[in-house]
Amino acid sequence: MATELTMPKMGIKITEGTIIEWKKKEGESVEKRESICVIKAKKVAFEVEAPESGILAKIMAKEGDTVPVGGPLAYILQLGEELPSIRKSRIKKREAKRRRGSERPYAVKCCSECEKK
Amino acid sequence: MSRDGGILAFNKWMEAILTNSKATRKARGCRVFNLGMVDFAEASQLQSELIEQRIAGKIPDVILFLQHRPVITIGAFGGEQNIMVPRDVLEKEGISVTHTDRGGDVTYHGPGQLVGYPILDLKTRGHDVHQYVHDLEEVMIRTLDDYSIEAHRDTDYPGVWVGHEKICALGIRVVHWVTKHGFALNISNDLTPFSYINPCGITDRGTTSMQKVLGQKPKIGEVTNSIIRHFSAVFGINVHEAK
Repeated sequence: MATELTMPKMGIKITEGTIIEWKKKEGESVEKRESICVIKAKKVAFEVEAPESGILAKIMAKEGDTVPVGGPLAYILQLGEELPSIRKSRIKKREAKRRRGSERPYAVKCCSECEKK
Repeated sequence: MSRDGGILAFNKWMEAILTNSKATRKARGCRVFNLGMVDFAEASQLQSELIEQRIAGKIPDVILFLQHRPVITIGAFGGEQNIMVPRDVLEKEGISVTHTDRGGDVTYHGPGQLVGYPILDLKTRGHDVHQYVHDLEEVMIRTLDDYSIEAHRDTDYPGVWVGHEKICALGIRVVHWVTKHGFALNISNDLTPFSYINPCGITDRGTTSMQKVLGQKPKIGEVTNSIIRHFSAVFGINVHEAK
């Protein structure tokens, strides 16, 4: 199964982070524990580690985007893995929302029912 | 936390680390070194080496105290647009300009400003970046209180403030939950170079120093001791003098 990289919990009172820099591009290979992106949270630059080795298949939040803790940052795939179809539709919806200029492009939805609302 | 003295002790310790001596691995608690005047680039390199060792669990927490020769640094969130004067003017003043990976925008370091680089593993401190920043600010506020300087945090801006003027800047990076960079407390440094920049991208605030507030020059060594004392209390680290 694809490994989801999410906005880490950087502290009790930290609810979100802003992407400052992607150190890797889509399609590049990453090593487990390698720093792959830099987040700004509470004025601190925080390096986010890859949870697994694999290919950085899909970046969900670009530089400058603010993402809530637990929100998706990227998907890492290993050989033979695919982005789950549900994820794909979510990605499309999120991108559509982002194009419409939604203020919270990565609002976390709990289920497909919520997604429809 | 033991005070290990100056650059000679530090160099000896670093050599022991790099040769993988048992003595360094055995050492526990927080080590403190006063390195004196160190170039910014050299200090960054030193930190990177120490962080690598800290991540690998080969050394305990470390705090480096030092001063930098005049330098304007541009942080990870900053840009050259916050340097307000041409480079040749800075060159004439003997101020170099460099990019750095710490959090924050543009700042200035120079002699008379006490810089502290704590290299702490936040995995043993609740995985909380916000708490770390809060604690560092608390150390500075208590230190300044020792000199009857009433300093405070600002909800909008990082660092520690006296009125609307910044007295201590913070700029931090966290690598594998280990802290890099730290604080810069204006003790007796020339404040003129801050007028060449928008410190941390802030345009409507000023900068001050302990000397400016007190009307006299505090001793850097005494301020360092005060910081170490409060650091121990706030971070819950025992201080025992090195023999």
